[in-house]
Amino acid sequence: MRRVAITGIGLKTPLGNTLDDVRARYLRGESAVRAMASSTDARPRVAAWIEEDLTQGLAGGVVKISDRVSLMSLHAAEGLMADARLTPADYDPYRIGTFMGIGSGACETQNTAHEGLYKRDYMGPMTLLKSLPNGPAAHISMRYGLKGECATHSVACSSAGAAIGHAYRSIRHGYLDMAVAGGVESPLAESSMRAWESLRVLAKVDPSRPGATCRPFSRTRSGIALGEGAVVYLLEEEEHAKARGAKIYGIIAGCGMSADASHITLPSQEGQMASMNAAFRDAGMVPADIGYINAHGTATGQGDAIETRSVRGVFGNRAELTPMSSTKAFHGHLLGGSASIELLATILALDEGLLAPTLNLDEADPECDLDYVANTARTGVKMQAVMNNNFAFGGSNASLILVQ
Amino acid sequence: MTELRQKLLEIIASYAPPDAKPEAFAAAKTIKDLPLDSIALLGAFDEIEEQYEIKFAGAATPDMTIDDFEAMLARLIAEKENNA
Repeated sequence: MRRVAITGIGLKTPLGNTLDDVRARYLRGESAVRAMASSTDARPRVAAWIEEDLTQGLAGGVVKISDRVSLMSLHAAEGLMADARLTPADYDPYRIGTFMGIGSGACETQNTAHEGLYKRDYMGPMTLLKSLPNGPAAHISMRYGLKGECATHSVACSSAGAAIGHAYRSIRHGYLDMAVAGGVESPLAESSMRAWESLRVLAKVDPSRPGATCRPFSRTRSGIALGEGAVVYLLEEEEHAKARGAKIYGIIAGCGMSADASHITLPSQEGQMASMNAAFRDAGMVPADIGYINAHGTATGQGDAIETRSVRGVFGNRAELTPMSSTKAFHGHLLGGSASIELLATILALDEGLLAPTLNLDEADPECDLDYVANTARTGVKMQAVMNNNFAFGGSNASLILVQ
Repeated sequence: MTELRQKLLEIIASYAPPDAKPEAFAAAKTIKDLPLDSIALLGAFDEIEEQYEIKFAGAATPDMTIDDFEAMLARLIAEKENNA
């Protein structure tokens, strides 16, 4: 069976645009979640967002037909190509695919369209093109001439995990040699923010400490803080990577996916365990092999408790010995992009022995009783394998296992 | 070049694809000479309509010269201002 290496990383995120930026944030314990202006009332808001002008460096003709999620993805892909030192001479265009995950779609374009339609009966001619859910993947494939399969996964918070899993399977089974795979989300437009607020799953904001709003696994957790960003990886058949002298960040050894088939929002322990167990079967590994878990850890009351029980169910006695952190307090919840940004933490753990902490974990919850790497990063931790989990609204679950 | 023509070309050129040569916009004699596909032209015309609060979309044909295009817009803008 062919092995699949990760040989490049590209990102555009509130934590920064390089792995060095992300590492520094984890070591400093510095969240990118901050106060955000609300257009509606005095209700305080927080989020993690990108300040940069995303139109810079891109042709006008591309910008005019692209939503914010596509612009972020193009910038991330540019970073990826540089990091992977990939040039068109390095690949057969028909043997490299593009796989992106996105949960909410083109929120900024939809918000603009709503305003135009209902305030002045106007609909811009680019609205449909900018709204295409497969815009991010399509723009990456067009920009770099990637002519293999180009697919978009939309399974809410597991979207990027499913996209990376699809890319991994395509290479492992010989359909492709390489793939650009990752995820993106930008849910911070007014209509999207209002939708999340109306569902009452966003965290209560303490205006004096906006960065402490998201508190995964804490007794005082109160919900989600949203974030935006794009992260993409180059996945490459291992021998192909070695032949061109590529840096290998890790090997994807297994992927598991499952459906809860039970409730639109309430997670299922059975479904989550099925996802993790499927990843172990795929990798031919057991829980004792895992040295770090990057949790979904959204900081919702039921979600974190159920996830803890799921990990206990799969890992048994090993659960308390296996560090597991949620990095969402750093970058907010990227929804469909979650697995892409959170895979950075698993790579830093695997490659460098750095365990990103769970920030704002000041009060232990009896229902969340594992080692969550509370508040302070750990360094020098040796391990052979790591797991990344994402569990979505709609019950779609995705688990990835990486090895050295 | 008139101020109006310069602004029109700026808007049109903002829809340029990555491989377009900037000088091709000023050199174009007719609308079909502009280095834009039909979708980009649609977007550029819409943006001109929005910016000047006028409507002309069906009247701008591929064979229309840029001179005639500019003259048509100048007339529409003047009519709008007179009616204001």
